[in-house]
Formats: sequence, C-alpha cells, structure tokens
Amino acid sequence: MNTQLLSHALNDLGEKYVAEALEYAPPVRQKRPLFIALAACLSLFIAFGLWQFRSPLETVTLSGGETLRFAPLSSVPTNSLDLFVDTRALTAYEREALFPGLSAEGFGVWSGEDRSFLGFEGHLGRVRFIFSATETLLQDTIIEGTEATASQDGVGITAGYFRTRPNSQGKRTVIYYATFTLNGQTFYLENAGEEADKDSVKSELAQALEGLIENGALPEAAFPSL
Amino acid sequence: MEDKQIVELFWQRSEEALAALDHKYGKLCRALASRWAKDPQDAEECVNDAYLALWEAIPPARPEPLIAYLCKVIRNLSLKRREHDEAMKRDSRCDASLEELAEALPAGTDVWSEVAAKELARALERFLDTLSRQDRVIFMRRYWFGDPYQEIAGRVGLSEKTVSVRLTRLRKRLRQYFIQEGILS
Repeated sequence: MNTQLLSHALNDLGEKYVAEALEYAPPVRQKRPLFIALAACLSLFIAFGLWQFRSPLETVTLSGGETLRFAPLSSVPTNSLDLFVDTRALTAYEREALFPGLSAEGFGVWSGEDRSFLGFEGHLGRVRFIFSATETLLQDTIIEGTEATASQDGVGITAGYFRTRPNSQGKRTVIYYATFTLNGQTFYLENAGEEADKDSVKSELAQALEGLIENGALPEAAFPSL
Repeated sequence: MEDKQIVELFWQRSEEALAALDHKYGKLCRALASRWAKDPQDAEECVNDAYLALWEAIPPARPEPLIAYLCKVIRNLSLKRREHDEAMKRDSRCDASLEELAEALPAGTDVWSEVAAKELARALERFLDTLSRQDRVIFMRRYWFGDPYQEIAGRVGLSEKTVSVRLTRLRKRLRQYFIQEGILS
C-alpha cells in the first residue's frame, strides 16, 4: 500500500475525527474538588458570617404561566463528596448530543474506578449547571426542607435563594438555585448576581431550567465515554 | 468570535470573514500547513489558498465544525502541492519512454486511486471507531496532523515513550485489521 494512497485516505476521514483530535483535552484525575468553587463560595459566606435571614418568597413566572417560587434558605449545609473521578472538557459534539440547542459549556465527570459516566458540570450561559446521571449527586449542596416547589410541564422543581449581607458599598449578592429530577437523573442550576439585578438573574435561571426540562431526561446513548 | 458568526460573515460575502478566520485560526492553520508543505512560503500559500477555497465553498456550505473543515482543506492543499513538486522533480529525471507510456495510459489511474482512497478511508474510520478516544486522538495527531511524539505526549498527558509504544501497537492493530477486512493479504 503506497503512502500517497494512505495519505489521501486519511484526508478523506470524516470531520468528526479531526474535530475530536483538535478538541481533545486529557482527563484530569482528582479527588473530590468537584464543585469546589461553589464550596469555597459557600464557605466564605459562612466564614465571614454573612447574614442569612428569613425573607419572603421570591418568584418568577415561567413561560408556561406557572410561578416558580424561591424560598429563602435558612442554612447552608454541604454534602461531603469523597469520590475519585476523572474529568475532561466535552467536545462540541458531545455537548450538543447531551444538551441539544442549549449551548452548554463544561466538563464531563466519570468514575475513577469503573470509568462510568457520572455527569456534567458547567454553564448554560451565565447559569452554573450540574447534571448527575446517577444517584451519585455531584453537587455538594444539600437541598431539602425549606425550599419552595413548583412545576413546569409536570416536572417538580425545588427552588431557593440566599441573600448576603450588604458589602462595604451597601450591595447584596443573591444566589438563586433550582433542582429537579427526571428518570433518576438530577439537574441542579444556580445563578448569582447583584440584588439590584435579581430579576434578570432569576429569569436567566428560569430560561435555562425550561430548556433542560423541555429536552427531558438524557438518553444513555448520548453519555460520552472517557 | 463564534464560528457561527464567522460562517455568517462568509454568507454575507463580507471580507471581515477572512480577517476573523485568520485571527481565530491563522496560527493553527500555519502550524498544520508547515507540517506538510515543503517550506514556510509554501505553507503560507496553502493557508491563503485554503481561505480562498472556503470563500468559494461558503455559501452554499455551512461547515460544522468550521475548524475541522478548514484543517481538511489545508491538509489536502498542502499534500497536493507537495505531490506536485515531487512529481515535477520525478519528471525531470524521467526518460522519454516512460513519458510515452504515461501518455498512452488512460486517465483512469487517478480515478482508481480516488475510489481506492475513499474505500480505504471508510475502513480507517471503522478501525478508528474500535479505538479508545485517547488512542484515536494519538493516531490522528500523528498521522493526520503529523505532530511529533513530544507534542502528542504533551497534548494527551502521556510520556513520549508511552506515545511511541502506543503508536507501534496501533500500527500493528491497523495491519491486523486490514488483514481481517481483506484489504491486506
């Protein structure tokens, strides 16, 4: 077989192989720093004694007319994750297969032991997003008890928010979150911003939420391999 | 700028498309062309030719992903140019009898090669699909992009030695696969 023929054959390979080789990033082995940014952020709230207090329910109207209610969170419990995981950035193909039409950015998470797909952590626009494909939840925030629930297309949504104490300039930060489950898969979304912009922060979260619910549970066939 | 926006500029026949394309992917394109072209000047010309090829292809094409499409065009142009240069050199050494024989042969030889290359490409794709993602990337970076071992090692997070061993195994596997498929005897 001559090299010229082989060279031409290589050039005729599908673009997906080229794209994969261009986008590949090696897996990163890590112990538990999943969602470390949020954990650090939450720790800061606690460490600096940021003030939590009971506030009235916040709401946003979803496109279907339902009202999503965010309950004020009275505490910031976190869940200890002690997992060996492998992570890598997902390619555009993989992201589109998982979250069609949603422009998701982020990385996949696999079990460090059996290399099974555990989920995804990233963003939908400004909205931070964590998808847990199995019962192993990748977010380390425990959400239970005080949150308000609502529904969109028959899917139950639990939602809440934090509000920080005013900073030296008198500005507060609000963090809205929402979570729902479809076929054993858990979706967690979170968006933060200045309190003065809270309406846009909430509506961005709601928009991402609706897109995910509309797409439904993710098919296992779309789960990428490590 | 997002790839979709660049493609849209091509569709609008805006020359900003070329500037945006070069700004975003120029460095990568020149690096790829320099792997296959014989000198930097040739590489630069290949990149420019590739931009022109995109200008002519879009519209009606809407390549997705844009960079993979562009890389294919650059590699193709670079190889064609090199083959042409090598053929010119060969011609200079050819004796008259071979030239006569070449003229007497039908132009079907090239057609046959093209068909064979396409069939071989499909077989290669089937082979690539049997590999792990990492092995597939190592194979493509070495034989499609022409990257040196050291560069591949850095890209996939392995040592240079491991990449070398992996490629040796992959070549053996490929040969075995081609034998199974009846491509090699």
